[in-house]
Amino acid sequence: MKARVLVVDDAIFMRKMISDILEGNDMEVVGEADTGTLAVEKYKELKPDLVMMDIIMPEMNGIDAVRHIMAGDSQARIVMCSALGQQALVQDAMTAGAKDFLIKPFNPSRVIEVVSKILNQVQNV
Amino acid sequence: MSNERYDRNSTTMTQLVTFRLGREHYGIPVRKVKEIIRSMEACPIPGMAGPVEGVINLRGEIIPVLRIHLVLGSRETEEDNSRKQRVIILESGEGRFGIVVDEVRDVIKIEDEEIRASPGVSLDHRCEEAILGIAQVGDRMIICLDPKKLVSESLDIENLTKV
Amino acid sequence: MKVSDYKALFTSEAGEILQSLESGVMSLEIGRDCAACVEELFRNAHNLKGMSGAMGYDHVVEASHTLENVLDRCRKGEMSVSRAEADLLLRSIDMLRELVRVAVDEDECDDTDLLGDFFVLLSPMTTRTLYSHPAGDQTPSPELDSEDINTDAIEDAYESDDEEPKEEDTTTAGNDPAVTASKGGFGERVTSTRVDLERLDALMDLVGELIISRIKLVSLAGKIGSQSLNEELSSSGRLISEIQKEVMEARLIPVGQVFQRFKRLVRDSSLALEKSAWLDIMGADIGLDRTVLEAMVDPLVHLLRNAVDHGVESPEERIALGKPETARIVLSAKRDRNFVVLQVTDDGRGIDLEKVLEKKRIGTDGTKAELMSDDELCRVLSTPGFSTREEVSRFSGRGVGMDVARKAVDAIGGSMKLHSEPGIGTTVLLQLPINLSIIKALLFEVGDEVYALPAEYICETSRLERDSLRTVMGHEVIQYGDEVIPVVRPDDLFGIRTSADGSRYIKLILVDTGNGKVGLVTKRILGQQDIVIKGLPSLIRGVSGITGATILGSGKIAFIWDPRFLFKGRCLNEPH
Repeated sequence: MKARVLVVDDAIFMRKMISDILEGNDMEVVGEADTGTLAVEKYKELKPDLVMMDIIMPEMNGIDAVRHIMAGDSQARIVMCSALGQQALVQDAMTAGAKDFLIKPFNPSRVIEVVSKILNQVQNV
Repeated sequence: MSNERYDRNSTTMTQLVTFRLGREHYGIPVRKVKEIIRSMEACPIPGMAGPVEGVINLRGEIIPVLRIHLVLGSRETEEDNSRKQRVIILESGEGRFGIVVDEVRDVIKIEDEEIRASPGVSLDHRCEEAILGIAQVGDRMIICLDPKKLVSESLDIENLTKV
Repeated sequence: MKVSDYKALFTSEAGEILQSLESGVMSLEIGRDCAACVEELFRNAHNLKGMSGAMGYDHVVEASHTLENVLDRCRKGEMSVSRAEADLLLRSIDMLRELVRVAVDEDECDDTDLLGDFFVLLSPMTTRTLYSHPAGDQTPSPELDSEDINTDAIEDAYESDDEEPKEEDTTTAGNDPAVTASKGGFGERVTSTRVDLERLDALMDLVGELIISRIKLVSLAGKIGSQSLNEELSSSGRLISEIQKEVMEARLIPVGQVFQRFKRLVRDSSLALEKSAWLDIMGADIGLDRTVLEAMVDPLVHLLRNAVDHGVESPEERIALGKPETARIVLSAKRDRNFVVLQVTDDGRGIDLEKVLEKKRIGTDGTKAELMSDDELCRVLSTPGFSTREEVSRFSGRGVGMDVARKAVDAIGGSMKLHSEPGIGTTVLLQLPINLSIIKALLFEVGDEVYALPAEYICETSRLERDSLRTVMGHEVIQYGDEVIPVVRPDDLFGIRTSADGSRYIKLILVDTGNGKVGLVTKRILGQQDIVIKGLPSLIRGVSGITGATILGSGKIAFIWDPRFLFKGRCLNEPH
């Protein structure tokens, strides 16, 4: 079965780019969100296998969104998508429960590498 | 117009689509050329004179067509030459337009430094603006044009409207 | 997917971001919603950086990174934005826009200088942090088998560049209540898919073709006379008009997309006149057809400049009058049945009726200023060449504004109204059709070409004996009921060459131009049909007497005449 992914970013451009990479590699993007708040809602509703989470977003940032999602589902798998210069934020996100991170601009093979590692890892558990 | 901009990256190559107007040869950077079509009859624009021949319907898009020799103030053109005549569709900042030429010759690659400053022969300083420079290729002297400048100089509506 | 496939998406989103950066800086300048604004600005610069990084537009990345740093300093309260800073920021946004354009167009011009200028411009506000490129493939990932978070890996991945100390970075985005409050600000949530405008236009054209093809079918069916065929045709007719309606709705663009840029216009022109004015936009999400909206840009620019130049008083004068120092100009849109009403309101000095009358020399014939209605005032002000201003300013004057606005509104079948109260302000109302893509038109031939006139201006068509033409002072006229109506020949109007035919009859279209009736001489009248209006290519926009064009079933282009021009054009032509 295809892995179901929720893509969260406030830039349509970025969502499209990530979605294309994932869908080109046999994954299914089941939902998109452009704010942290919406991400939390959508997570509850869609129960995706994986979340690709931006950090800087309106309404609720990515780190708080990770906290909310993890509070509802401790098994949630979230990968942070950060920009250069946000190491401290990524650290916070990982503390909050994010599994890994990617740095923009995305390198497709790197995205797939990280994403599949996480999906496989959890399946093995 | 100086050729300063060519000195800066002296090794870069430009591809030019070359065409003929009467006995004169011209070139336009290939990147600005959208398409080349057989000439078709243009629908004249009521009340408009000057270099605008009219508009054509290119797959549903209405595109103005210029008699480029009028823009350039050149006397060179062949009135009756429908077999070789073509319309070159160009992209300017303000949308597409076509120019009628007597013949499309070829696409050539030249080094930018081969393009020399125009000798400034035209009395009309406005169409001088549209000339990027002149290049000698074989026995042809090719006048390189900047499509964007062609229209900004020639389509001053206020001056063209007859009534 | 190649990077170039994302270009269109990049262009449109980058455009929105730049727009919102611009209005954000202006809000900041006048101290509106400060915290939320800065947060939004920062996020926008940040997103632009990320997007251009993905596209490989390095110069845009470097510039937006610098801007992001400056905005980050504002966010941390290290810097505040007043007039001088706003000026720098706005100019830097202009440069950024140009850098984006160069990158997207793959313009071969070298923009290194521009980038340099950008850095120099913002240098008074920056602390030195240069953008360093991401490490890319070599970036190690944190080890996943360990439950601990490998902070070293994170540090490594970032090659710990020269950013701000991280303690400060942790005080970011979401914790700030201002961020949560920014909902519904200038970055609205997008829930719809994007459709290329060209595709919508193509769809619209197809609907037009469908309508024309159905008209042909109906006439064929008429010859056959089959009951069931006719029933089927009428149900397909309903479906087609449903589709037409849907496509038209889809073509509507929220006016805000265009209006936002006027904020800058109002700011800059008021500063240049040493005034202070702020533009408020209301009804930004009201939809208007793209063609109509585009046609309204120029008129609105004129009206807004008029408001700043003629309406708004100097700050000293305003204070003396007990008005707020900064004038408020409101540009609003609202939907009213099949129209959209745009309104420009200022709280300035209003229009000086006495001065208008003096200028117009109406006063001498006994008309009192108080007796002049708004409609009359509007008519007078929009007469070409009229202005109450003695000197012509760089921004408006000569009455050109009202004149241009009137013309443009007329051309698309709208109307303009004006209301002014001395000391309180002026309001200009533009009532516009929501869309004008498909209209009923009468097609006719003149010379070798086919032309169209909008059907609602046509009174009737007739075939007259040539002898029934009379002349009055050298002008050709015809008798129509009780009226004597001037006759217009397209040759005089547009210089179209028409071959004189020796026939006994002339074919005349009686047009009600709004200013009076006119009889138009044609070669042949082809009949009425629905046509799809295509805007003129921008290179030939502005040709007088022509409002657009349509493509006929045969593939030929037919220009659409502006009925009002028939009358005005006639007036210009003195008897020969």
